[in-house]
Amino acid sequence: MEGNSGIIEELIINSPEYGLVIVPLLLILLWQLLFNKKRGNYKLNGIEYLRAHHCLKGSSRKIYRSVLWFFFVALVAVIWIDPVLYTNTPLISSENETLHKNFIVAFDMSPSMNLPVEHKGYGGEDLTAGQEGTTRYETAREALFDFLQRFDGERFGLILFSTEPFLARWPTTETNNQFLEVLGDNIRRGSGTQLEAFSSLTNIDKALTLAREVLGGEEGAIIMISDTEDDMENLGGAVRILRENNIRLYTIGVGVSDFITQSLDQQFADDPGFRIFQVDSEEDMREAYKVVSEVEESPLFSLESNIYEYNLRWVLSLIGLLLLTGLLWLDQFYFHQSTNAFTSLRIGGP
Amino acid sequence: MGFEYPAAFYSIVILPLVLWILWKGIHYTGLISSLFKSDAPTGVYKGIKTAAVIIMFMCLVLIGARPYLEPQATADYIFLTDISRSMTARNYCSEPSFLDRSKEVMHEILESVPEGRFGMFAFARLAFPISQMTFNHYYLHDVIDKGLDVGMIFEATATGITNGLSVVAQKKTNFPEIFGNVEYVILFSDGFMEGDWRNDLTQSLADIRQAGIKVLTIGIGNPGETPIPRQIDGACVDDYLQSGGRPLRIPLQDDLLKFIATETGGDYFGEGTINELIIFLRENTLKPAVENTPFTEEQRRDISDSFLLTATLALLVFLLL
Repeated sequence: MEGNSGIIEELIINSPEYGLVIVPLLLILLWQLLFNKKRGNYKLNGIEYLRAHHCLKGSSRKIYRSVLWFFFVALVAVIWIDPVLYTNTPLISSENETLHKNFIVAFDMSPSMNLPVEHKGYGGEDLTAGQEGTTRYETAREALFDFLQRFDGERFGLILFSTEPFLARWPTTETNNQFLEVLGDNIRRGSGTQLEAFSSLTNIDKALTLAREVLGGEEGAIIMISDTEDDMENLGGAVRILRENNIRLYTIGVGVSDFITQSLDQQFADDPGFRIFQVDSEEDMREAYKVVSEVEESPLFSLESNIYEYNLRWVLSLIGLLLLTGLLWLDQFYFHQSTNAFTSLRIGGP
Repeated sequence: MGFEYPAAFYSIVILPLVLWILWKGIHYTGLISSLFKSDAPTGVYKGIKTAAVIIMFMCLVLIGARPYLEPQATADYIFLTDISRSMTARNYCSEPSFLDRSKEVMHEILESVPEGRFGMFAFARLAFPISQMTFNHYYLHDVIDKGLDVGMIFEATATGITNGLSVVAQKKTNFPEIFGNVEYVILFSDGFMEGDWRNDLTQSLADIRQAGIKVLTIGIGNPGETPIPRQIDGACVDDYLQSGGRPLRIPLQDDLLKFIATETGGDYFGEGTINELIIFLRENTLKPAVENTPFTEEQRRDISDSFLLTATLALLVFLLL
């Protein structure tokens, strides 16, 4: 069942066949109503005589009582069919969100990412294992950890790229370990890690193509961290393809020149789905991630409408509690089995 | 038994009201009976009626609290999968490749050990974890189908089993909070490794043993040698890779895989004996689950049906009275 208006998106019945549980319950109600001539399961002297002589008029209370219990029987049947409601607005706190933002983080693993973060351009001494200082890679990694925390619950994928890109993590919402099992290693010369062995040339184009394939037609954002100016100069074509696919690209250019940054900024000045950040320090890096966070949290790129899933069984059970209490109240105080006879005698006697 | 929404138990505060209503009703019946000088309802009648209402009430509370049962036992496993070029071997393009066959076995294990937490590593020349350790088997099925391919890591021409084993051991040592409970690695490979592999494996097997890991090896391959079809634009063609003017053919080197299993205290299984592997995993590797194990909905079994059935039977009795 689908609704296009209002907050309800869809109502799914998981076990419609279990609704048949209503049949025996209804049969009992009908039996009580039509065939059970006793006014209660206890004897009231003279009542049967009076009833046989049409002296009693209180049977309408029995009908009311049956109707009341019919509502409860119907509710039990609805609980049995296990309905699940999908809404576009959160109704109560324990909902499951079925849509998530998609982020693909593409990390440049070229050896130049070993340069100190404050280093501008290429060349220079990269850092080795055990050497003091913070590399571009380490700075970007730390900032990413903060970003993951900020977007906890969203879906993140991880691509490491060098000569070839490699999908290190299929998009997942389980980011509590911050991809440490992959990114925990470093790429400093002499560290002997797999990442260091992987570290070679840079192929941004293939990395972005892989990211697009992983997103598989879904909208999302790619956060690319790289320090390779040559590839960035030719980034325009790749960005256009991404934008055509409704994919946003945030490029964090570590140590890239003003010229590259300005050139790309100008090319995509009117497109909020592309940003390039020039990063020369840890502060710049954090600032870049902060801006990306703010843009992604803005209404412009918020999920238009999330879908919230509610298993109604437990809600209906709690409603059932209140209904049961209310029905018992009515049953025992207003439509009591004994009252039928009593009231009938009082008001309907001969 | 656990509850996803224990706050529902607060609704028990209504129970005294319900009991009071019942008591008043029974009292009223007694009054009417005495007015008519009739027999009051028997104690059994009153008892059954009260019990039916209480059972209905409590069952609804329990259903509202979303009861579930969690597995009593679990274990952490790592799939270590060979994604070197030799894993594309197959006799014809219409056949599944060695990697496809590995994937089938992985799916089967995930289905058969639903209470297990799994992580995935892939190796060719280099080795990387390609998934987090997770109880989310839906996710793992997705990773197997969509995120595991030959050549996914640069330079797939080498079967780096030695490196793969060392990396797993190293990760367990370096990240105990993530891999600390891993005692079994399930290795999928054709074992195609050239050179003096016994000697080459010495260090990595020592690493694995030191990390307290046993390796269960799964031999993927055919009794004879299997050629590797070429891939053109990602599509398989019935033309085969050659080496030194002769077709490159991949044997199933099960002696190497048996050696790894034996040396690490694990066991070797062929593709035809996966049932034995599953029995082994279920009988020998699962351990009592500690409190607050982060099971997901997949591992949790909803048991509200049994309470709903009880409530329905109680309602049936109540309506009959």
